[in-house]
Amino acid sequence: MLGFVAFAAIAALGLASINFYKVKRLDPGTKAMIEVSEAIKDGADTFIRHEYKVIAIVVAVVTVLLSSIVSWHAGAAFVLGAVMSGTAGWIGMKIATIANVRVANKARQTGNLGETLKVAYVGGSVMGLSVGGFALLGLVIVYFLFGGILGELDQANLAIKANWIGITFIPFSMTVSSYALGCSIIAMFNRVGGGIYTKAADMGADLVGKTEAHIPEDDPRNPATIADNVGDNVGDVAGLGSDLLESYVGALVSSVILALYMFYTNIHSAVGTISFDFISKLMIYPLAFAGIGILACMLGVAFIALTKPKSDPHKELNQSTQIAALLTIAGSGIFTWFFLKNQDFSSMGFNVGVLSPWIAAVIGNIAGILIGRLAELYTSYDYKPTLKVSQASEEGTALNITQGMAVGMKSVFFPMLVMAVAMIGANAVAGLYGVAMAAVGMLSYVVATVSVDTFGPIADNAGGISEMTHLDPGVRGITDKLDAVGNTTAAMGKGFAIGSAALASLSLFSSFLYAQADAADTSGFLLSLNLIDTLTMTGALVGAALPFLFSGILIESVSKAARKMVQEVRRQFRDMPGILSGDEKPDYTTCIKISSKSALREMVLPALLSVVTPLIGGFVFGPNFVAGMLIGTTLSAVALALYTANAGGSWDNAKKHIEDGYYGGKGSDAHSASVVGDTVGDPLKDTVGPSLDILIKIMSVVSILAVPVFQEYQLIEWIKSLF
Amino acid sequence: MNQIYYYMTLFPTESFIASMLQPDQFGAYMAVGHKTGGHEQMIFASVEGGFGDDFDWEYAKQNTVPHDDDTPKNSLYLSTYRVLERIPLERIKNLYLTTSDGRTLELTKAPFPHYDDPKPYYLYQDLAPINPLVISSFQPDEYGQYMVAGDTKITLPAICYCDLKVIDADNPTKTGNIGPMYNRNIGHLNECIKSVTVRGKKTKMLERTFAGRFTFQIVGAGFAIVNPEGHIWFDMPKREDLLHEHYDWGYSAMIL
Repeated sequence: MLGFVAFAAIAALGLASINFYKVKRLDPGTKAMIEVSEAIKDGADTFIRHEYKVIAIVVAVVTVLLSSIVSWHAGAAFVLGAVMSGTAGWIGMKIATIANVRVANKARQTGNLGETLKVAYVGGSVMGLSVGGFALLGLVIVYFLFGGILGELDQANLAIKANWIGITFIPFSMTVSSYALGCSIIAMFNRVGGGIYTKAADMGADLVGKTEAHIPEDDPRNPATIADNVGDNVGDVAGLGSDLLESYVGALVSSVILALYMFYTNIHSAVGTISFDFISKLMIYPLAFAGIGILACMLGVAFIALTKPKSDPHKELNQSTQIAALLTIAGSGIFTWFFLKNQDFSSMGFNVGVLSPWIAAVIGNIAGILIGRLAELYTSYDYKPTLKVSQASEEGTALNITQGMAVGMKSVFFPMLVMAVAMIGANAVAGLYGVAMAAVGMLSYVVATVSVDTFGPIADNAGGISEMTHLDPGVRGITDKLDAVGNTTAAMGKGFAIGSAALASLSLFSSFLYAQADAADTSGFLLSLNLIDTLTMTGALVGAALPFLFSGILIESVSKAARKMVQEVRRQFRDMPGILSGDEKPDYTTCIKISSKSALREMVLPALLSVVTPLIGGFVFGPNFVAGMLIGTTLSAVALALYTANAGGSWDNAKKHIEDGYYGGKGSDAHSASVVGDTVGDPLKDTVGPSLDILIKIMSVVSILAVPVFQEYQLIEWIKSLF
Repeated sequence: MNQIYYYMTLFPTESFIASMLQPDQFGAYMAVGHKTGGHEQMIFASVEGGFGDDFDWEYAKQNTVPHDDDTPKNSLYLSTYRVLERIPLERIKNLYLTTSDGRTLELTKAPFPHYDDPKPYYLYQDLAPINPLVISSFQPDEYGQYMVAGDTKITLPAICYCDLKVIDADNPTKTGNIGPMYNRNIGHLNECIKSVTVRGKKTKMLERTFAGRFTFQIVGAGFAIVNPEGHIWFDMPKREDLLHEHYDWGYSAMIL
């Protein structure tokens, strides 16, 4: 079965290579277009190179810690995860900076929406296929090398072992968690760094360019405009790719670790009803499920790449995703039937027979779609909530902001209700393993969703290039239509990432509870957490506050960087008056450097916070405190992520609605108010929201990795022992 | 011999300026070319100089010369008061609209519009020498002639004005990009419309101080300059023409 998963991963990477070169060999257009695209490419390359140098230091430190405190297996798996995630992000950014100019040129040469869509989507598919391919390839290596060759998946090793310093853990659980942590660390840096970069540039470009100098979006006279376009690539492409790769791996790994702990608990609590054959299958099952998803998505990608160009991009992208989703569900259903038959399903809490985990995955899938639809409901101007934000702009900035906040806050309830129902449903069908599979189901066609999500920034960049190089307005018309489709799909993609993070966190949390409890205490999978316990409750309090601290640091970082950008753009307009009259070229490089330096400096603290907090909490107060902290963080982070993503999306689209000629349109007081609202929402939806779902998974994985350590070494116990 | 251009600025202030800059450069200079960081939209006309003795043409020739570093003389003010009434219409060449980010659109003379099927009311922005926002039952050509005829208490020696897009007061949501015209006290607007359409007033002032919020987005058919001797008209390009021929200007003016 591992061979099949490897085949799916390699096939995805093969198709990604084909699509990469298919886009690369297209004509990049005129000399001016090439010049602008080269400037964007150089800026993005330089940032990613510097970012990866910083990350390499962090990766080296964590590798040494994991290798010495846990095992060298964990250290190596962590590096592997970091390499896979980093490579996917880098390739995604690379193809985006290659595809953007070719998309603009295709629109210029053909004037055809359908043909332009194909280039943008094929470019986006490179990122989608890389995310799926690299995530699975890394897991295949972990299974093959550590599970197979080094024997971690042998029956004898599916038990708690002590390492050289007496710390006890299940070896494969540590190795696979470390792989996930590697992916998460890269995702956190890419998301946070890219998010700060892109919003500093975007806000700097808008605040001075649009508001003070009254120059339009993507005007080449704006010194921050190239940095803004670079930001789309490092934030919305590399950041998003690493983020969804991490979510994907997080969902897969959470189900594997949970299966491991359930097996161990079952055996060591003297129940012993789960067979080794069954658990071996359940540990490979999520990967095979994902493999089927990847192959289905490849057909979805082929549907757009090979069929005749059409004129409705939204419909075509939806069809591609629907094909992928339906094939994944059908294929995985048949696979489940044959792969899991003749097992003792009750031993794992599977209540509806062989298809139990598949039904749980389908529940997750449906929940993902519902959460995505709810995100659309709250953020699209086709529906009342965002229309109300547009309308409130008539009465000024303050009411635009308060209405946007109201929409964001209200938008939290129903998605969380959907998650709750999905958890209850998945748990009823297939126990805790079912909840983990629901997260897997939600992300099973991640290749299709990332392809569509990446297509958006590519189209956005293509629009910027056509504006900066004064291409025919018809070209901008085509790229604008593609960009608008990308905006809607992006909001839905964020819903999937947040929803899957919540489900994966519950299964990771369950694994944490298994890891910290005695096997006898969890007999029959009865996990319990005493919320009345002071340490658990205080942990929950601190945990609930943590996402706010984390978000505050991020917003402050964006503000600091944006202020520097504003000052630089103002300086250039003041000292070089020829910029606006068209007699002088702006100094784009300085703005790129400001964004880069700020992002690199500011990304470290929030990223480290997510790793260090559960460690400190655990070492000082012990596992109960960390358990409370995980609960508190997960609940408040999921709510905050939904709030920030949907409020930001709503402010953005409320502004777009006014720009479409409502409430006075461009230049009206309502428009000015909506521009402010959109600017307030920018760091929320593009920096804070996406980083929060990584925060909760990093904290869960770090806690699982560290719980054996702080069970042994704990300050509060040591102090007690002194008296 | 240095090329000297003469420009009459009409909005936001009236003045007569000699310059070595071509119209688009002059527009950019006036809108954004100062180190003061100004961003100001403006309307000006190119003028064929050398007429009459109201302006000091010799002073202009002697002082409109390059600076010591060979850069051209940007502006030499020849007059800043009651300029429009002193320029013969036949000396006015083209009209230029400069956006607040310094992009300039050239308008050439066109026949004055007169509609066989007139609208019940028109909206006019007076640009020079005074700036009220006016509702009138007069068509564009009639309005200018009425304002300079001298047979009413409200009369001017010359006027520059433009007609504005008429707001659909019955559909205050889907307005199009009318920017500052939106939400300007719809109740008062309806009253003023009634004054003209129901109570038969020829003109009714809607707002005395709207000029500070005037933008090119709301210009309707075009611009007029009228004095007792005659009138000239400049067509405002249609949205489609801006899209295909003057995209940058249309984008800066927030029309596109």
